[in-house]
Amino acid sequence: MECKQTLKLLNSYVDDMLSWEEVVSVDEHLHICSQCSYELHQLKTLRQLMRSMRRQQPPTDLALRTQIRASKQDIRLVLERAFAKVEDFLRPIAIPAFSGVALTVVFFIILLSTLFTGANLSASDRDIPLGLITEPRARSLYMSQFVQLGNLVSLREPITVETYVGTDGRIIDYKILSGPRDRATVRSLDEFFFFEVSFDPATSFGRPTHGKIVLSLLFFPTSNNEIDVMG
Amino acid sequence: MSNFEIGLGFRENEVAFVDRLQVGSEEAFETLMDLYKASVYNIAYRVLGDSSEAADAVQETFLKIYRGIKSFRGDCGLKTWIYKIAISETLNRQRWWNRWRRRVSVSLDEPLVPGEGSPVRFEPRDSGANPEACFAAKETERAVQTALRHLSLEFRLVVVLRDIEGLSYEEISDTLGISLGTVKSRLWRGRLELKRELREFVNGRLA
Repeated sequence: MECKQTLKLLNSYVDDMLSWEEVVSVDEHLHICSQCSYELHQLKTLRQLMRSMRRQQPPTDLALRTQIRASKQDIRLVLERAFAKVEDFLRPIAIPAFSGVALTVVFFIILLSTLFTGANLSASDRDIPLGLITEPRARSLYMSQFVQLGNLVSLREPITVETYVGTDGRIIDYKILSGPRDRATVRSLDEFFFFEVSFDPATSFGRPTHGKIVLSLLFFPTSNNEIDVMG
Repeated sequence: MSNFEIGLGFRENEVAFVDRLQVGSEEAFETLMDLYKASVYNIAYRVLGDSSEAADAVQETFLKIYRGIKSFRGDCGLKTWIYKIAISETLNRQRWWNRWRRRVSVSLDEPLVPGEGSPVRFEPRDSGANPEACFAAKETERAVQTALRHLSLEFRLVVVLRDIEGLSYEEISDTLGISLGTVKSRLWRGRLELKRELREFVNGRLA
């Protein structure tokens, strides 16, 4: 064996990492080569030097400090795990839950809008809206033979009347705001209002109450002798 | 179970011991610390060359062990696993330490106390004046520490694990995740460098 090879193997030789055959051949070379022997000696010395190094002692409170920090970490670890568990639980249901909520919202928006618009469409004019104050409303206005046509002929010009409607829908009183105020007209109006006209009373929060309504009356001298009423 | 008993039959008891660690036994963790804190501290100290840095590295190492012991599957031995963590933690520190030291290099060199391996403290002329004193434990210690610091990190790690901690080639290979051939070549190069650095001691002893 040559020096080059021996030098390569010297490290492993020092560390007892060579096979038996290798050890024998290195030994043989070392017997005849002082240079390699010197190398070996240096290596051994170095190893001895390294091994003789004083073993450093860690600070005495190191273990205690570490354990304190570890126990503190325990709490954080428990919290982290709890969060992770919640997250793990929520993650798979996140999309279904979100779409569920979104669908519910959409459904309710559609349902509610249908309900409200449906109520508006289907309700008759007679429905009393709750929670509101309504004006009295003329239910029927028609002429009968009781009304003396002769008198109403004088209603050629429009007559505006403010009428007071009681809770039963009957007129309590009226006041001519504009138009003819002669006796004949007043009598005709008396008959007209007290016998011919009925009202839906005013309501306040769904309950009938007193109210007033302003009516404009105009007599058209047609063949049917109609009275046009404009409320 | 005393440390002595664990030390005696550790191989056999390792599985049971790891089990106890994994269920969070404080006593087992304490035992683990008692067994390995000195080794971990010495590796960190030899690589970092600073006692307080080494202490921090030990603390971080054991906290990582504490956190990670549940995921330990026994693919490698407990010792190798601990050394792996210790070395990765030490290297983290080393990177940080290097950056920091570079930034404050001037101010840090001066307050270095004897025994910290300051190159200023180790002067060959001391050895000339009193050769016997060179071989005093403290001087040797300082010189070796300085020489180690002059080694590049990859050689330093292998040399520390082999020559100071006494790990086998296989253990070093497992711990550092390098091949046996690489262990051998790094050890060879590392020792060569050390021999050069410590020629005063190595040659002196021959005389």
